[in-house]
Amino acid sequence: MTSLKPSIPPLVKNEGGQVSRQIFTDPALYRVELDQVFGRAWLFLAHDTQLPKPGDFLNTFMGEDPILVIRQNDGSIKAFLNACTHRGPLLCQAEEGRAKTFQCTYHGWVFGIDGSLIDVRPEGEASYGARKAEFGLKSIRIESYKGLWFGNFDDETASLKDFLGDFTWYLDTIFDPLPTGVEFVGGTMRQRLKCNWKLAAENIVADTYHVFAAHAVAAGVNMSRATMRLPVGIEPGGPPGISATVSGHGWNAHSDGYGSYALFRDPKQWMAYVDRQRPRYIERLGAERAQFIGSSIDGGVFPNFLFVPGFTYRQIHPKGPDECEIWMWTVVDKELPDKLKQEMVRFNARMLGTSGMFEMDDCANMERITMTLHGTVGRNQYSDYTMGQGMEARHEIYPGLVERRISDNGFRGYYRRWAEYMQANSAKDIPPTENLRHKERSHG
Amino acid sequence: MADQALKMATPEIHLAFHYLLAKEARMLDEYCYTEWMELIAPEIHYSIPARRSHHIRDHREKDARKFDTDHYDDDHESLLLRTMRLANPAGVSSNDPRPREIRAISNIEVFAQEMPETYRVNSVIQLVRNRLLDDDSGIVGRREDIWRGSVATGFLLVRRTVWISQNTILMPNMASIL
Repeated sequence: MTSLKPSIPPLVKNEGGQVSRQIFTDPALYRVELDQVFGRAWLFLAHDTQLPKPGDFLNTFMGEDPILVIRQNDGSIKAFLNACTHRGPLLCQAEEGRAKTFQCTYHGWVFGIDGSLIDVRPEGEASYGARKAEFGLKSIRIESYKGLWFGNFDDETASLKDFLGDFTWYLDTIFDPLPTGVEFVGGTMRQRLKCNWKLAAENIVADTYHVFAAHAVAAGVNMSRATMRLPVGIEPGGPPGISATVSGHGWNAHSDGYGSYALFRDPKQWMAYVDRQRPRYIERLGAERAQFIGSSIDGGVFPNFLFVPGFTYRQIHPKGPDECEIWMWTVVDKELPDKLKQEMVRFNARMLGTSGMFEMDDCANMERITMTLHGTVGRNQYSDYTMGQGMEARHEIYPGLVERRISDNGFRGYYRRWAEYMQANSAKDIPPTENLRHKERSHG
Repeated sequence: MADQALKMATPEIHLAFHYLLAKEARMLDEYCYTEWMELIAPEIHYSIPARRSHHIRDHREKDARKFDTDHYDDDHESLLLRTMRLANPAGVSSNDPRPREIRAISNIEVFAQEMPETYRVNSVIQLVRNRLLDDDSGIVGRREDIWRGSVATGFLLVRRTVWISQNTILMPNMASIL
């Protein structure tokens, strides 16, 4: 594994402007990624609203490790490797639910929701009865930010707050817009895809450029039937918007306040809702960030937690070098009327869901990249992310390195960060996330 | 089995639905979406619910959420949007070249409902979709339909719920209509 590290710089060249396509298919690199990216980055596990009551649990993944996340009796959250400590079978097979205990289906060991081993059946009592404390579930380090729980396999990495750094300025816009907060509604939807996880992630972390090319037909059909014509904001000749990269985390947005509703059947009811809330958004977030709400946005937390507010919130789980799984959620203001919550769930499914009219274009393109990577020549080509390179700069309002929205600024930041994780000998070698704002809090 | 109280339709009606479901499958296989939309009632509710993987002993399923996400939760307007999108091969599209889709329909049961000229029609659909040269995927679902009409006037689809077997969708996007 160590011998691979010197080979990382030629794979990510020119400050992230060129990336070798080997990183989208090479099995050896993938194994290193599981250890050094998924083994050290903070990975999204769950939102508070997915686990409202004690005993509520859900299953997810950190890299390829199955993780069981459980609400405790005292209201806290704990996360464990979802494997019996005896011989390793998957302990809890349900995707979600509510439980008082978890019993292994193999030898019957029973674990409490706090992860402790509480029963080994009478046949095992003589050998294991006195040693139960040694066999508690493998506990995962977790921390939360604004209702979002993340896990980390490495005890030496910086805190979640430090990992997010200045990116919290952007994240608050979508996860903390009102005192009542947001809600994950409608459950988790899952879809398998035959492409490397980074191809599914980069598409949302950074790629606004593809929208009217890849989704021309889907966008045209939907806009032709809407009750009013509303620009998305990213049309040629419109305002430039921003693409900001904060140590690999990406935020790409316009500020018109309505663009994300352009493809809805009846944009007016959504515009009326955000108009009504706008003064409260401003009060909580300040004018610049309040104006993001309702606008077209895409982005994500490095490495795999992504969002296109109004369309999808998602996580990409790796399933081998050439395969991944997309997990999708709908996220709304808790205060949104039920009728609109339901409409948002439907709209998300129809646009970027498992049957989505836009999703089908993205899935096809990602898999079609993978189709060119298996030969000896194709995998050694470089993908180009140089759009707008050299134009990125610091901005007086927006944290991070900022460029026009239609640029590859976010990709370059993402792959520079990926290379830093891949080259680090230990968690302590990973450069800290940009974090200037704790010194000069002027907004929000 | 909640069907035991249901009344079997006459052999004539049963036969009519055998022909109709086969014809409908062929319309979709052949991308005849305009014709397919002519079979759809204005008040259609077309639904493909998410299939959850819950422990049998866990009763949370019943009260966990106000609403679960469906793969499809469509009315006439949204089905029209989807079919317009699928029918349009212009520009960059994942459907060009056309995928080759084959729908097999089986396990057909036709029951007369209390309301006149209204039929509950159960069937199983197996869709195989092959794209480009060798990209093969598929999905199977148990359909529960409500159709309205008569042999003389023809039938319109009022409600369709498709209970697919997959939790994680294993085909790259479920853009094909079942």
